[in-house]
Amino acid sequence: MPTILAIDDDEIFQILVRRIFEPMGAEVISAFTSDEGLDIANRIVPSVILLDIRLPGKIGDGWTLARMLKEQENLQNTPIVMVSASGGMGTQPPDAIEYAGYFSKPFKVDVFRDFIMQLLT
Amino acid sequence: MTVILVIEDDLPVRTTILDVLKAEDFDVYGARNGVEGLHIARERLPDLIISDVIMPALDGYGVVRELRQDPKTATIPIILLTAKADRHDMRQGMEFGADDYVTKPFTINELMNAVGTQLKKRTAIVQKYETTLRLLRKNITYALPHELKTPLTGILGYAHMLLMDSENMKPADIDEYASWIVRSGERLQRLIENYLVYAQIEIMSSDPKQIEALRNHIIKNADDLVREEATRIAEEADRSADLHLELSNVALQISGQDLRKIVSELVHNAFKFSPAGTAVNVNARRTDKTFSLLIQDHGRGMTADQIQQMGAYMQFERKLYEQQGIGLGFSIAKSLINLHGGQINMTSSPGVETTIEIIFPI
Repeated sequence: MPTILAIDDDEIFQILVRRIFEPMGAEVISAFTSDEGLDIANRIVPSVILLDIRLPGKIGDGWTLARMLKEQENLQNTPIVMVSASGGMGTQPPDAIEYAGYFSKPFKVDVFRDFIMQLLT
Repeated sequence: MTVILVIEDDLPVRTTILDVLKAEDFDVYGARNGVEGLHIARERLPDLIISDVIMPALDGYGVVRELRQDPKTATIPIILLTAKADRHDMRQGMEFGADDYVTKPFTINELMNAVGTQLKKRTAIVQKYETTLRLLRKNITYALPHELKTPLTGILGYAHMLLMDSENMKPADIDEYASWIVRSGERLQRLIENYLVYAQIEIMSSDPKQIEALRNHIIKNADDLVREEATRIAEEADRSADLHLELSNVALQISGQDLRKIVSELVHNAFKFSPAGTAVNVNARRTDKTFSLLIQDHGRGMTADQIQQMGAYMQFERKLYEQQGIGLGFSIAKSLINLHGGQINMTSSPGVETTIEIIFPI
């Protein structure tokens, strides 16, 4: 079963992700802080990581976490999809960071679902 | 270049002052009387005005009064030159809104000291405003859209889900999705309301008349209102059993609407940042002169550093939003309490408890 790790501090968003992907046969695991996200990603090696940019946690924001995740050897093949309500300016990564997609909140659920499902197959 | 306007009817005195200022590299304008001075002030908007008091046409007090009434010139520092070393006269000038006075006859040093002090003060004020404005601009650009779009994601996300698949959904699922839409909508509503209230408070804080009017309200049985509002918030959070109230009858000098808002925001935070099943205590304490309300939760708490960051304008700071999300509500409560002459203190042990104490004079 493919696993989606959603790293986002918004509980309503976390439940939405569950409701979208569980019926599609994916398991959704939630992390609410960047520290928790890094810890879980290392332990379970998810199929896809959904990553918010504005995140609480000691490690730093979503961009910092994205770079750290990409540095992990076991996560080299895990695509990271940035999902943020910030949009526009002020959400630029501090340096070049590789990620598979970027969704601005709010997004169209079907477009979001299809994009993530494509990454899972 | 710093521009200084000198209003003085005595030609030798005016010339001397203008020459001294020019020698110090100031850009100077001279006016022969109050009327001419007002005209130049409005046209050139100088950084500082030095004005004689006794002049034909319009005297120095008149100049000060006129300048203070016009928003364009209201903040320009004014130094009055008074021939009389009369305390009453000096005080009158200051009451009209002059910033300083120099008594004739004066030495160049005395005048230059006064000029230096006023210019320094003005620079500090301008810098403070600029910092505040920069922060506000940053927050309007970054924080506000983020805060608004987060609940909107819930509304549109669950609405899309309903549209995509409502035919095959079980009634219980439809119910659940609808309730998430409502919850997100309420969150958005609260946020928008708070931004509006915050803006109103900001406008009010700069108007002494409005602050005075605000303090004209007296509410009897303030405890009933606190009880009612705290109970409502507990119900909304689905945690009625966690709320413990210990209140006693008191009359407070505050409008019901404002007290309700203060209690609502602080109790809301207490529930938001503590897990279900832990107690939220709302207790009143009374002395001869004060009434205090303590709101305690047993949630994640805050470090001393984080508490310190809760100061003015920090509520918009990105860090606080990320870590706490409690900024705006707390800030509104704090401003309202301060406007009513009250105080608010916060103490917290991370991971153990947070207590907010509101103290009102009675």
